[in-house]
Amino acid sequence: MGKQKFGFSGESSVLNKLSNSLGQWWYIFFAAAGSAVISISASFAGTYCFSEKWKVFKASTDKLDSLFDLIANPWLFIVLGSISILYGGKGTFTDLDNLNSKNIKLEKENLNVNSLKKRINSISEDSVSLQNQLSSLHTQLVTTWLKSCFRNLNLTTNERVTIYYHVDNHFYVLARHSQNPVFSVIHRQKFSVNHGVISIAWGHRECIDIEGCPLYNKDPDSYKKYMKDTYGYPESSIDDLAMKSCQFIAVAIVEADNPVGVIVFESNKNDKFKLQKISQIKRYCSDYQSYMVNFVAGGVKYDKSARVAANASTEEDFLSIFIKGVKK
Amino acid sequence: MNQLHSIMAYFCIHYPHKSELSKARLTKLVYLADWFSALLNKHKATNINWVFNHYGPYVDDVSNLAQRDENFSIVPEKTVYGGDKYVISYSGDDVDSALSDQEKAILNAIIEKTESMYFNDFIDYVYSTYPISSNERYTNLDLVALANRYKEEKKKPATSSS
Repeated sequence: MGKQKFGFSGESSVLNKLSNSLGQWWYIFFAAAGSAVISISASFAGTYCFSEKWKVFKASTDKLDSLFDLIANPWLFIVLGSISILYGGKGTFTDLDNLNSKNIKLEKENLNVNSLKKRINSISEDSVSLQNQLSSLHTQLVTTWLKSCFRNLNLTTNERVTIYYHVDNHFYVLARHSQNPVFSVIHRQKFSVNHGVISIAWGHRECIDIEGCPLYNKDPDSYKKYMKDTYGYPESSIDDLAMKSCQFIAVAIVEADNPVGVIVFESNKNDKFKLQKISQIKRYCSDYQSYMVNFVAGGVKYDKSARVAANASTEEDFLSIFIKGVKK
Repeated sequence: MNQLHSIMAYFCIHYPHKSELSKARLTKLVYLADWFSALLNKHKATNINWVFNHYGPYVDDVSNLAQRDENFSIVPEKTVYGGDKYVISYSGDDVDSALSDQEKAILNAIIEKTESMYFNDFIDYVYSTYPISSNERYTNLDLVALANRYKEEKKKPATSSS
């Protein structure tokens, strides 16, 4: 198929642009041309004598030629120039009037845009506030479930239970409960995936440690060494832990063979969890697996901070302003 | 006049969209001022002990001061869907002289960065800061220590993992 420059199938837009320009300048052209014609004609009008031309016309044998000479006079061009100015002026005036109306309309619409922006921001505040409330309510729901779990398993003030969910290689605390308020406080909310009881349970479906860990109260150094060697906790951070647990039962929360979270039972006594308790806890976790999967799904869904954290160049971006030069 | 007062007043005076300066937004603007000040000046701009909860970095210090100080007013408004919103405004003296050039530069940069953001984008911006997005997050945010840790991490050469 041959390519055409013009015609229905042509690709060139030169003529379109030309006609557009011609259209836009149309009235201004008439006004300007009218002024030019009047100026030129006026310079001839002084020397033009109509009675002389009339006599020539009457005496002439070639009437057609003389008629043209009679009509094509400077006064006629002055009249035509005036008509051209009037036509161009009226068109330009109407054009400006239309532009002015359009401008007023756009200004009004702009006011609406500002009001709409305000509404969007207001809706956005509502949305964030509702998400926060949902997240808070979801945590309350899971905490209530953990309370019933605590009672059913006859756990005491020396134990606590926590559910963690996994997003982008990190664990986040979804909810925690202990009858001991000191142990139920959440100090740390986000953990790296590569160390600790949670990490082992995540990788191997469960982590049960009920015998090896020394009691912190009796031998703090051995406790710190054990936690460092077994779970990779830095010794310096152990003194700050609110609960120095020495028995752990951690079970992965699994959905369709994929771990999505972990539930951890821990005690700061070394004789709370025995074989019978372990099997009771594992059975409980198995029976309520689908509940926990739902809890974790909700946790991931409602935790905005876990989803935003993935792409962060905020600091570099901000600091670059100050590297370029202090803003005044 | 304490630093928190001056910073809140500066935001109220210079923030271009006054009606958007809700309690939540102003609180998080002060958080950003504290965080970027910790990064640039090695100390926070205020004495607030920041806590991270379901509402992001949040403390009551900002709204408490706005309630206590007669130069601030808190106007209750309704959002489009009828939610409560409290807009904070300031009618006291100018506070430019109470802040250093560097502090004003930080506050101006924060205003410039966030003024065009709708509230959800603004929250995303706040959540993308290192204290919230770092590998380990604590409920109590020690911004100066976190700023040091951020700088240490940035100094380390990038390692590739398979």
